[in-house]
Amino acid sequence: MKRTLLALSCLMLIISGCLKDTLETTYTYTLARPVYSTAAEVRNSIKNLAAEPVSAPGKMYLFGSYIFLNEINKGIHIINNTNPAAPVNEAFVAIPGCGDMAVSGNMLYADCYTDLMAIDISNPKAVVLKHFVPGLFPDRKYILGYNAIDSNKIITDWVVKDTTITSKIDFSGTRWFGGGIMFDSRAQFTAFSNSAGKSTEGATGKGGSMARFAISHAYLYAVTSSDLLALDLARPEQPVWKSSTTLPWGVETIYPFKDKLFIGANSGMHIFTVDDPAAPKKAGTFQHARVCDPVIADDEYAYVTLRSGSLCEGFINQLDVVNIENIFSPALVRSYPLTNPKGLDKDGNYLYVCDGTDGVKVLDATNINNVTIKRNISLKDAFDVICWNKVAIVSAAGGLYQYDIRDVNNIRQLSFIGLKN
Amino acid sequence: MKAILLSICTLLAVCGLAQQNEAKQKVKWSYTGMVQGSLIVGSSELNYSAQTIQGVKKGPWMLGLGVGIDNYVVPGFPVVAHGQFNYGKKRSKPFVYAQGGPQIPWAKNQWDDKIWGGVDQYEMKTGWLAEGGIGYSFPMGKHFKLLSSLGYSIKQAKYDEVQMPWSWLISSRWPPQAGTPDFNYYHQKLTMNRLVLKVGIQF
Repeated sequence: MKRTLLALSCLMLIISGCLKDTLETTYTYTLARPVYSTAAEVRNSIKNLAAEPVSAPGKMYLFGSYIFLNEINKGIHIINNTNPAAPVNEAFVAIPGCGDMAVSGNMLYADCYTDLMAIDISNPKAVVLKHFVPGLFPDRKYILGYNAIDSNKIITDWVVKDTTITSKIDFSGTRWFGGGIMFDSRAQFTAFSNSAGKSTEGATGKGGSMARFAISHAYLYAVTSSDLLALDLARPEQPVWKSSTTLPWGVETIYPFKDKLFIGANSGMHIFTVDDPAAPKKAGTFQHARVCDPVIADDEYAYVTLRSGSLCEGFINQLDVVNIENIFSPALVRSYPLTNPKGLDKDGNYLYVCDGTDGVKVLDATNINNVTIKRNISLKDAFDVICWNKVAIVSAAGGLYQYDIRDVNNIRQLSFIGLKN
Repeated sequence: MKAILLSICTLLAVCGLAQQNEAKQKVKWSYTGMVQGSLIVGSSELNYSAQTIQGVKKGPWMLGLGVGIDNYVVPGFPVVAHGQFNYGKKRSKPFVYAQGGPQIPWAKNQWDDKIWGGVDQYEMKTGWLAEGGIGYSFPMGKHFKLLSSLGYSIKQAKYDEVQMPWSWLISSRWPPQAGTPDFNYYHQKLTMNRLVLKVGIQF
């Protein structure tokens, strides 16, 4: 018996030495090394390049027979859309850090990191940078989560390389179950990308509902995450900043309609009047749950898509129809559930809504109290849509699509500009 | 580690050979089951597990399938195949056992509160568990036995640690969709070596 106990004790001693918890981690990451340029070099690099394949489509702007399609953080594709069935990718304007744009006359206004650029596009194949307004968009100094701008250098590109590492360490973490396991911290590598779009009609063209730029009454309006900026375009080649109006944080989009600006923000839709274009005045707010909300409007109603996830809070995905006949007191008419709506536009009585994985939904809004799904255009991750001359132009993950929407019962694809492999 | 497993296997084999040399009796397979609770000792913490095993027995052998809960560090439900050899013919007798199988995680995801839990979130995968040990059974009336055992257990939990982008930290509290490209995935294997002290009843 004593021998048995002794043997067991020895065994216990040996085994206790093996009681060690270990954590093996395998991580494949992309090592990104920044490529710096000076501000002067960046401005000098704003020029025409040969047409490039689309690889990261963002916001778009329709002007005349041209589509301006943002290549996120890279520049703008200029696409001749004289024949929507056969658009021609004619040129590419390299604008580092570009995420938004608007066009008026012969001038293209685009952001370049924190600055606003005024670019003469009289000849789309030989554009000329005319003027820049520095420091207008302070939010844009962060690229890939890093401060992209120091005193005089800007991160204009990244050299990336995939690497897989495996490490094994002694584990000494705390429990999971209700409390979380916090045993390791690593430097964060983050990325974000801007959405794109724009919305004004007539001589200034038309943009999408995801836009942060809008042109109205010879003024360029731009929204940052918490400000509405007004720039005078009396001299189009030299925009002059006139005013900044502070808004609640979380501003995302701006949509001009007649003498009003509709601003989509995390917590609601704000309506501004531009009776004095240099100093827009807030008329009313339609508040909603904390989500993302592109907006379009007509004389009577505003159409607001609310979506959750990612940068957006909450978990509401729906279309809100808001009565704006009294702009000082916008009132919800009715909400309609959707999947994960983003950009939208209206053609006649039909709403075209980019709705996450569902593609583009065509909603019959003839009776505003009973909006119904007329049909669905299957597309992967449709982002924004512009309807113009019975053509729906859709920016989606796969590229730029155009559809003939003359007959809503027989919507057919006209053309497609795909992504670079 | 390998030496311990080898020792357990050898012990089982020796017992099996010993059994062959015993007087041959005509015995039949019959149902048996057991319920056990256990104390788990490891380098990370002291915790508990519980399991029930249902199976068949024949002579000194018992084979069965078990399910239970293992609450050590990463809670889960092990589903194990169990083998046991009882040594000797007395009513009180020692035994050796081995068991192993997959461990199904308690929760598929663990989305911590982003403010208090940090930016790391977890997606759990099915892991595995293997255990071997020795014990002693004491008769309790005509139909029951009190079991007491000490085992060495290895549990491996697999999970992806997901690091959220800062934009998620400052905005959405709602769990994001898996596979979102801006997130960083760390494939983790947490191997836990423990001693398991079990007490239970066999019927």
